[in-house]
Amino acid sequence: MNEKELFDFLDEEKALVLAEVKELASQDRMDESNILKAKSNIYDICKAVFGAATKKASDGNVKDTFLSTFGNITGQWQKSLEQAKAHDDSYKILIEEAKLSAVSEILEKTEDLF
Amino acid sequence: MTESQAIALFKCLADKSRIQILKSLIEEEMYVERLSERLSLTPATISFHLKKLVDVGAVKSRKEQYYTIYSINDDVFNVSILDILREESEEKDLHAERDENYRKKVIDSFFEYGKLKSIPTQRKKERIVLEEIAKAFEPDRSYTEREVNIIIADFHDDFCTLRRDMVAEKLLVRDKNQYKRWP
Repeated sequence: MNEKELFDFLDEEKALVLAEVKELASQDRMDESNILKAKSNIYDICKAVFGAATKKASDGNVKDTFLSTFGNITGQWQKSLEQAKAHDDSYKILIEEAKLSAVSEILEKTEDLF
Repeated sequence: MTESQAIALFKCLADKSRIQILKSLIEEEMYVERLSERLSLTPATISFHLKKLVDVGAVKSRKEQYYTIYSINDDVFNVSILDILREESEEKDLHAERDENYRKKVIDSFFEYGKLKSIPTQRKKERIVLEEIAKAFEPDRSYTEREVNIIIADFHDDFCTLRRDMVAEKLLVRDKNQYKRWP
């Protein structure tokens, strides 16, 4: 049941982000629109990781298995953000911040549901 | 203004956020946080757009205490579009420009913050990467193999392959265990 709720949440959030992507493009803010597209991909990545965690978690603790794998992936993005900040790479800062904002929403929802 | 500079400028200006930034800067000089509040965009987004505007010469920046102040570069906007259209495009320049763009693309793809991410498999691309590394060597200085290895290792761990390839590509000349950058 919780899994369905999480997946519904991911679908809704992705749809909202894609609507914003479209809105920005219609306002001729193409760079911001393209950067936000990176955020929309995170919801699908989360679904794939959660699906794999469900199969992998032998003791039934899907939440811990999911958080561990998802944490490994998103940890790389955090490192990449820090590196981008150190090098004043404004494009990469925006991409990584967009991805990590989706991660925060997902982690908050996971805590609520499981 | 050359044709390519004009294209880069027009491409950069074809964005609503950047036009809003320019409209603000035409009123007065501003720093990132001020623009951020005024336009309701994050400081990171403003910095991203300002970098693009500075790159095409539309905006100038100067340091003032803790802040970087941005202002419009009047010179760029005082050029008439008709003058730009009257500029002749030289085929020779276009070829050189195409080569330079390709070179920049390869360097941007294979280097990240000064480190080589991987050694290109395509010879043409590897040549560009090796030429970039060769810039780290002073032209009239002799280097021991150890010194060469240390310099290359700053770019990539596989310094043996890169050193050998630089010699094969004649970017480095080896003579009695001493290396020199090809003049």
